[in-house]
Amino acid sequence: MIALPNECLFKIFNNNRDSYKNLFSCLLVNRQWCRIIVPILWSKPLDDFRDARIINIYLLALNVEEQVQSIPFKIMLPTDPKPLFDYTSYTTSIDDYHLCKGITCWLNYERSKYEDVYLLDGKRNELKREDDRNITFYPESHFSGPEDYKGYEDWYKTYEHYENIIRATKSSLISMLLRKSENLNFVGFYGFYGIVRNKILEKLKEKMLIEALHKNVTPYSLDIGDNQLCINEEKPNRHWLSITYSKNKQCNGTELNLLYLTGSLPTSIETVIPKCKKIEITCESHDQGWSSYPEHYGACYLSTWGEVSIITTTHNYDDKFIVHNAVEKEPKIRYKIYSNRHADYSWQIHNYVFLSDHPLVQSIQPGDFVGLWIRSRHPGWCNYIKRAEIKLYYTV
Amino acid sequence: MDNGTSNSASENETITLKSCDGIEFHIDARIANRYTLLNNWNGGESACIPNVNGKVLEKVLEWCEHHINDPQLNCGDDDSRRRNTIIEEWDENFLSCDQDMLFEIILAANYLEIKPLLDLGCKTVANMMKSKSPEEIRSAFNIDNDYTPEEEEQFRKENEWAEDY
Repeated sequence: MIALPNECLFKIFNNNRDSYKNLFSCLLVNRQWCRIIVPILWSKPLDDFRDARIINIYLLALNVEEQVQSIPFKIMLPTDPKPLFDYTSYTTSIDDYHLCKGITCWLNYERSKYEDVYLLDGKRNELKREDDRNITFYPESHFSGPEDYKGYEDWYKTYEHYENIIRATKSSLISMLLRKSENLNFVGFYGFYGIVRNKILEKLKEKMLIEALHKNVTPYSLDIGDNQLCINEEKPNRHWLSITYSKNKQCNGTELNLLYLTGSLPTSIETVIPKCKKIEITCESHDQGWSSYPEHYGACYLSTWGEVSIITTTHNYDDKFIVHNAVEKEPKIRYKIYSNRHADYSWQIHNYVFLSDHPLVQSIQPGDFVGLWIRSRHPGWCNYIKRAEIKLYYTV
Repeated sequence: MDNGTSNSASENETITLKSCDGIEFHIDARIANRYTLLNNWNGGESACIPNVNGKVLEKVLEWCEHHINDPQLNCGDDDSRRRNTIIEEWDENFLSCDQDMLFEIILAANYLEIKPLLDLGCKTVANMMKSKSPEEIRSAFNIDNDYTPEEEEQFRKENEWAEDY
């Protein structure tokens, strides 16, 4: 064969990247091909890690710190020899839903090693049927649902225990992947703040997550529940983290006061308290488009504007509750961050930055919310907003 | 090189290309413009292609002429093109040459930065690898196995999940 440069071979293999079987065959051809294919094959293994053997390789990459988490649950981590490649470093995307599915497969697989019933004949086939069920049947809950637990009551005393095993394994794997992967560009945590059955574990997971993000090259986007979180370290100051809350929903009202968006610092870092360094606010809004004061047209005569304040609450993350509670007890200190051009109906983009010496930045505590309000001077005056973003920079 | 698609070429400017073994080709200047074929073309009437021999250059130019009226593809649609594994009949016939020529064409397309031809060539090779075992691929492309048996076994084990999908 005429020697092709690696870039051409990469192009060739990339054509078949959806056919894992084919990549597998090519990988075993020779060493050069292997080096090119491993990064393709392991960038998004099966898109969703749904094979026990993938999780097995991942578990081999845990360091001591990450392994410690599994001790209370008596999880038997694999003891295979060290892999020839650092496969985990090629991962480009992780999300906890699929990791959970993978871990479920792995647990089933591990159990099958001990359970003869499972291995009557055609061992693989029996297992695959189990896997197939996991692929096609996605329960609503983001953990593997009670369905996966059925039949294994003897193995795990309670469903909660089973769930905790999955959680613990998952947080170890997430920490490891965040630590190892060099090309990570997507991290998704759905239902991160979902039903919290075990607060301590949840906190532990978050703590490890934040720490891992803090230590490492970070992904540019992190999906947590409904909020798009962008976590990135500021280039000039490598120790800053950021958290972004955004909303894209047109809203208009003739109320004098409307709380449009809130954001807060992460609250569950156990040993350290995040310290706010900077708050950036961006929004797009406009005035009602007409008025009875033609002399003020186009000017920044205060008819509609936006304000920011701190909302102190010891309560949960329920948006409705915050809105309700905050409007009842209007915060006293408010900072005006923009005014709409008087009687102008076109959208205007406003940016405002609170720097670290600003009282707003200095006084915000974990658990407090930064709220963006849209306001009108007169009753009945309509105020429009269609999107907003609150970005908090902090250190831990 | 008359395949019926080179329309009104006489109206257009032509330039002369010279392969590394000294064979000259007269081509429509639009081809040269379109693919930035000639990094070292100074806009004059002739240019030299140092790394491509006459036989290969002839094939490459044949492909370029046939596709001269294709719409220009955007650079950003790499993904959509990859997923489209269908190869036009003309292209398929064009590339059903011997294997050495196919690889030479890929090399030339890579060197001359003719991206659509490069993609096409890579896709063709990728299709040739489909549903083959490692051993079949090695013999099809005449490649030596440089793994030690232990190494090969461990790679097989570590990646075997992929075999099932």
